[in-house]
Amino acid sequence: MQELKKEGIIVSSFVLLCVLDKINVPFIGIAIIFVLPIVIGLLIYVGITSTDFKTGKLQVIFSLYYKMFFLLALFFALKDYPGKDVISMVAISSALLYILFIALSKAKKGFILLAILYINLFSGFLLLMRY
Amino acid sequence: MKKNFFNAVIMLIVLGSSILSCTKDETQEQTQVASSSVISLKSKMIFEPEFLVNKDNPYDAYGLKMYAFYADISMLFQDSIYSDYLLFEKAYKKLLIKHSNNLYPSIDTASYTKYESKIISNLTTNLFIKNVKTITQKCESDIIADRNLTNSQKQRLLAIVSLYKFSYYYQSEIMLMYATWEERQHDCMVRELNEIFADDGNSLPEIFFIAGAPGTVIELQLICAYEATFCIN
Repeated sequence: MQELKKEGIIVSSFVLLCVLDKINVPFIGIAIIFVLPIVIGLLIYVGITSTDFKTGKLQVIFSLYYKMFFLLALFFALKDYPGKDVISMVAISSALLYILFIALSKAKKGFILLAILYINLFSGFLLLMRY
Repeated sequence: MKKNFFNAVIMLIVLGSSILSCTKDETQEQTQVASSSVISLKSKMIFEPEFLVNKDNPYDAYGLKMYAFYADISMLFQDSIYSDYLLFEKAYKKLLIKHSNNLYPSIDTASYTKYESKIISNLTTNLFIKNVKTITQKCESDIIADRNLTNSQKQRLLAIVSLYKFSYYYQSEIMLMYATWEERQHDCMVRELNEIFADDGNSLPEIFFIAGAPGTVIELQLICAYEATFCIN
């Protein structure tokens, strides 16, 4: 639960920065460029130090993979970089594959809920970033 | 603790001064700013368009002469005229008259065939300042060797390719001079990602880029941050 809170703070801070950049708050655009690697690093750190990592390494690594791709997709959509659609597709597909993997591996069902939350939340923000 | 803080402050000062020096180096020669009433500009800008010259294209001589026109245009961007559309238009028209001998002869684009339009369209796709020389020279060679084109068609195509490449070069240079660090970084990212995600039928660069993410994205960001900081084209 503690890890989930930390992850929530990290991801929501990044999303907040993206929203601030979208509404043209000065210097946030530059800040995001430097914040992205830090956020990804923190996400990996939180994932590796979590108690779930000891019991199921593969599922934690898989979850980190789709979460990182959602952050990258948001960053690409925000900056309107070429390839933003490909990255978004990879993020959503990897999250769906993760759901399938968790369902088959009989791990905690809470992870499925988290993945669905990521898909809904980031898809919404990705759509917002387009306009 | 104090030592760490001191080191951090020094690093910030060094980084800040290097970013400032980027724009300073390029604009320090433009100390003479045009006033809104008098257009007495001195071409002190340093463009280096010679590398674009193709000996097979006779119209490139006009491209070199256009130097003086764009040198004056670049000064207008720095002037207060730039923020007033009417004044800018007036000054621009004055410059057109002043540099009438330095500009290209008029090119009739109304009678262009679809085939000619396609050649121009292919030229402008995926053209960047990095590859402007190779792409335009290949286009010029193809035009000269093309048996489907008449001599007059070849001439007007060569004229428009020459005009396009020199205008593109001068405008890119001017934009680069006045771009902020963020814009430079963004331009670099877009350029590099365009190459990776180019619709060229080869999907290997895309696969390698995605397979290596987020490492590849961070690496590209660092490269572009370096380019933007030290003003490398």
